Amino acid sequence: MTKHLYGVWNKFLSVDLSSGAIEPWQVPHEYYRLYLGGKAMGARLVNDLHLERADPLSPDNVLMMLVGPASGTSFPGAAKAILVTRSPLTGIYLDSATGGRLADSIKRSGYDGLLLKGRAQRPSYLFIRNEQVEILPADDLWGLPVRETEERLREKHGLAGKGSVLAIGPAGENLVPFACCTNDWYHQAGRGGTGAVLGSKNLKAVVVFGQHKVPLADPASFQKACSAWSRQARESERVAFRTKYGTLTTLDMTQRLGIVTVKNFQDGSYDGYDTVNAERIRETYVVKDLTCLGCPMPCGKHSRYQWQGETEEVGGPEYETLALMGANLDVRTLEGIAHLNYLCDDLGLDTISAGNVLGCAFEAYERGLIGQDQTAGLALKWGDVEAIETLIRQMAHREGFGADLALGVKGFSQKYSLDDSLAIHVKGMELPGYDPRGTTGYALEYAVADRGGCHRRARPLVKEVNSEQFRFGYEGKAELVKSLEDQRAYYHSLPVCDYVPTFFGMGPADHAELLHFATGWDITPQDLLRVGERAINLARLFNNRCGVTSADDTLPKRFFKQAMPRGASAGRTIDPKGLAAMRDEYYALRGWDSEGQVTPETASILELE
Amino acid sequence: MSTSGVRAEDMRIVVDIVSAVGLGPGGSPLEVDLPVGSTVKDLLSMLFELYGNSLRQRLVRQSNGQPFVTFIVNGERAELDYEFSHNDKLLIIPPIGGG
Repeated sequence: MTKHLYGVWNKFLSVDLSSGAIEPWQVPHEYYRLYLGGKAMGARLVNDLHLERADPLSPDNVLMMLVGPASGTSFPGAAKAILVTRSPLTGIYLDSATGGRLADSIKRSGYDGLLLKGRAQRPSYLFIRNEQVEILPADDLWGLPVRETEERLREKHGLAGKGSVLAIGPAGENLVPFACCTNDWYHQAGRGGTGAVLGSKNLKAVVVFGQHKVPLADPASFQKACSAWSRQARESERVAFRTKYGTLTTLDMTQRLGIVTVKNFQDGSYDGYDTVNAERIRETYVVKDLTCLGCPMPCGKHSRYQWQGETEEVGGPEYETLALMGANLDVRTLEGIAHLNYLCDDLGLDTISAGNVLGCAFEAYERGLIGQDQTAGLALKWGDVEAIETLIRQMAHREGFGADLALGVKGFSQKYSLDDSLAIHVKGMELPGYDPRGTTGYALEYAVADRGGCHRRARPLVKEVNSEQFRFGYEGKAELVKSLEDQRAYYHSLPVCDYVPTFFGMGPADHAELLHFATGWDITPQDLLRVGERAINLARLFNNRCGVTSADDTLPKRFFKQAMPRGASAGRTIDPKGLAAMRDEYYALRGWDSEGQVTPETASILELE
Repeated sequence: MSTSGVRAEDMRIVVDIVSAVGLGPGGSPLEVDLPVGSTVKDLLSMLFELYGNSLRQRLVRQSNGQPFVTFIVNGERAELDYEFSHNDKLLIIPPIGGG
């Protein structure tokens, strides 16, 4: 490898909030070829830094905001930054992606990523403008909701319409383990509690504005190829479809397949579908399309609606929020769901985890397992938006019954000694909006995903919709999940948005070509998939160090015992033996032992030592 | 097309689409009668006559008329040249959105 690197800076920024030390930080050169950036780099670094020894909410934990060779360039989908840390929700590996302008701003400030550690003595925020880096007081921002925080910081630093502002809300300040980070109005690193990690560091926000041009190996060829992809995207009906609806049409699919998450996963068909669906939301509420920086496929939706006589606006709702804040709580009006979406965003809560823990509590209440003695007199009635609003506010501020909900599903269900059937999580991570009884691919993926119950590491439904026999079957799923995980993991190491390749029709060979123009490396499609494999294996190595074994790679009991009551997945459960067989096959394909441990041989083949 | 009584040389096909508004006014699913030997492509032509440009834009590329949706017949994926049998159920799936 040549000494000079193109496409990356060979420099990270390390910020110790305890001492105030701000220093450049480097990794060995070969890391860029082995891990690129983003996810794979983060999965390497959590091991190198031994974060398994760090309490997630202690000063010892490190929150990384990582970019990569695609960031800060015209690489299609390059707007994703990857936040990596040890999760306060699960206690294991966490990466969480966010769009907007953050990746571009970090990269163009001259860094391949930020490493934030320690704990500031007073509320603070980090300000980066090219070489200028400062830790500034945030006493006047502490306690503010997310939007006002961003508005004030943009005004103060003259960053209207440029640069990136990432902030936490009261939930992050109060260390709610599923608090999220929000940047650039509506983009979230939603899952696993990155907001709580920032809160534990007394860091309210990160403001970044970079203007450096990223040096590329062959800028002319790179630009020509990127422009061609952009042009093609603008002419594509698939891209137009995605632009029109974003993630909204996923509800059409999950409703059709009978796998919407309804009333804490007790049902798979949503009775609000006639009024809450993609066509109606698009026609009635969406006022404009929102985009990440530089993307020709603006799939975000800006919705405007009336709530109790006031006009509110929200980025979204995305499918997951429709599923978990809507169907899972049996809210049947778009206004109600959008309002709850707005509240969670402004207070800094992940809508998936919040919708799950609320669903768990509502079911427990319905079954008489908890009562008004515990809820301070609040009746938990499905679909009651005002009651849900009260609890969301309590959660974010850790007040009253909401303080118990703020433990997340695992902690909440343990505190109230609820049966495992009501506790819908894997490894502490609450499940997203696809009931696994109607998709055995997701059943496996939830069980083995590196950050716990997650839908973003693989998307087996893309194949499962082609065949009902395959959708409910147990064969071929291990191979499918592994290959999709490897693919997604390299996307997130470039890092690029995982939807852009899907809708643009870009494959590993296309990415390899662009990466060659950017970095000058001779890199093959197989090399890229190998980067993905490294990321998955490094995350697993870290999880093994955190104590994860095959016993953790399972599902909530509900899915084994209770059949789906109606819809296109009616009568379905997950066969425990089928799940175990898929898992064992997956381990074998990964080169892990029967306990789910990465073997020394696999580590050696993947050059992970 | 008729929805009443099947001629001996016709097949009856049930068509549906994954969308809250169905194929068009009147919603879905829709029962259609097609001559024996008809394919998915033939059915699309009939549907475009029935529902016009609004449906065409939802299913095929303007540039070359090729579909960007997926066709599932009786629970299994099918291509444009698939020849229907009597009582087949066709489900049209738009591109998968994501979460």
